Amino acid sequence: MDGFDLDRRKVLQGSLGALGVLAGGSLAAPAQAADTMVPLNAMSLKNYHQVMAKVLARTDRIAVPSFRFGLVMRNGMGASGGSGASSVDLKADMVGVDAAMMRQLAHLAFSDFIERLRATGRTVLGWNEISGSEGYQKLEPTPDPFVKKPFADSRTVAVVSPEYLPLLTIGPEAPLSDRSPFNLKNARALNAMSAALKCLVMIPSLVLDFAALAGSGHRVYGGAANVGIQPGLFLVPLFTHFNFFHAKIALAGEGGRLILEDRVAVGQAGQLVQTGSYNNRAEIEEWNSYVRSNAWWTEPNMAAPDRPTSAYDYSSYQYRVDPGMLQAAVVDAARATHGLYMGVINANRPA
Amino acid sequence: MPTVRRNLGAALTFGLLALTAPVTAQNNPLAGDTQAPQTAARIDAFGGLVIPPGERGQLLADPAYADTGGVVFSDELGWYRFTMADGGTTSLDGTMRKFEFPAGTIPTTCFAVRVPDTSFAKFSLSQIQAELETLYGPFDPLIVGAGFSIDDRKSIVLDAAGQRAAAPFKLLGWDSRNADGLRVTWTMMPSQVGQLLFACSGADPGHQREVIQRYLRIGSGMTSPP
Repeated sequence: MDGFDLDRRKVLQGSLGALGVLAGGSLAAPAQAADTMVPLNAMSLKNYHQVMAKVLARTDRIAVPSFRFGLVMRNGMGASGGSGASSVDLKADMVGVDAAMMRQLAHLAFSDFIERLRATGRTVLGWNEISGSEGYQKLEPTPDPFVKKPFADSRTVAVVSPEYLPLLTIGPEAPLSDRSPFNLKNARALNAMSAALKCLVMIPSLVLDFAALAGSGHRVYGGAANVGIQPGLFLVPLFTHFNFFHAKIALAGEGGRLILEDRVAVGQAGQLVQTGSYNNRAEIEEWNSYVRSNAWWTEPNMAAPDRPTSAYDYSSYQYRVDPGMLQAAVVDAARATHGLYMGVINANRPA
Repeated sequence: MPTVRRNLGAALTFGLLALTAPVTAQNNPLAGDTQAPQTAARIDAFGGLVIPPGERGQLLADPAYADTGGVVFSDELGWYRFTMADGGTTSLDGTMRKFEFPAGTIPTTCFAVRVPDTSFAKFSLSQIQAELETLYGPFDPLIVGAGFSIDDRKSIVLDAAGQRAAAPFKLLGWDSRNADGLRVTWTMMPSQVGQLLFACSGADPGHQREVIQRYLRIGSGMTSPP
């Protein structure tokens, strides 16, 4: 009887594992993903962390030598239960976007930023003055497009600037940077630009993701595992930020930041399609049918199916972008974020 | 293998879509020398644009769109300001102000009607804005009564470039069409002094909403009445 009880416990565990896998990869929105998403029209400065905004009051003159626009092109999530007895894995790619299109979107967002900046009444430096400065000559641009899969992060992000601007990053902007935190060249060059032109230097960064993923994590005792994907563009916290610098001398200066802290839902720009699934659901269903029946008792000599040693489901998805919808969504997101930035700029005017 | 082929096919299809997406020339808005700073527009404590009395009721050249022949009209009571970036004309038809202009290459017509009404006088503007979405029901019959069927109800957030020290204004928005297929996007701004009805007809709801969002501004006549 001990053996029977043990066997039933194993069967029970197997079924739970299987059920978990069946739930996995579903398109149902996980509750925790929906809860933390702020609608774009409800976004406010409460969703940002502000650091040293008072730097904006140092001078009326502003130089904008770069603008960064990024898209999460690939994301994924895995989960397991029962110490790996059941596992689910999900990968999703954004398709239909190329670097030229991204640069065009960066151009539209940058144009909006400059239009708004000029409307604040500040002096926005022309490109002749910016590119003629010694600091500009010292800048080391990042290759464009810059594709980065941050360490211990399943996201792959592509970042571009408009085609007429260099793509610039500094070390503290990790993980979306190709510089070490000890590489101070660009920071010093921006300081040199600020000191020579007696201006603030600003670089906004706008990054969108195409789907929110959620999963049950890796469990040792629980048998179930699930992952979920909720399609829709959202502004990525931390990656979306607005940096500004001011220096009186080229060697060192001060900087401030507005950093997005919450995920902000922008809307849909395409369609999520499941493109592949590799799983043993059929095998598990066969086993579950067998153990739910009483065949194992009434037909002791039947050729019973083998009990699966694990339950797995590996799915792949594509978020297929409609270019027109993507452009509208990016412009909406840019307007909303830039509007907030201008509010901070207006609130920190030189005396 | 068939799955792989399907994926490849989809990727190619969408790759081609990406290549056929409209990409226009990118001109650096900073190109050239540093320009003189613009005069920052004045706004009141609620975010309404302060329109000087001398500019009201007139169609004036807009310095912000001087290179494209842009003009701007400010309402007589300072309720709104509307820009026609590529030039245009305005006329009064009874109480209805009509604007005719090319928006890009699309001939577009907009209408503005002031409806003085103190129904909301006891509410603060921020309260009206916060509960705006609940007002579609009471105002729907206005659109239907004008002979239009409602395709979509979606609020429009006015895009006050650079002046957003206060919360941006949100307007009720209806996309509609009549029996002749004429497509009109209607917006309504309720405030303590009344409702501003602003409608736009051009190509499609996306174009019409873009025009309203970019070029309509709410004046302090609506936000801080005398």
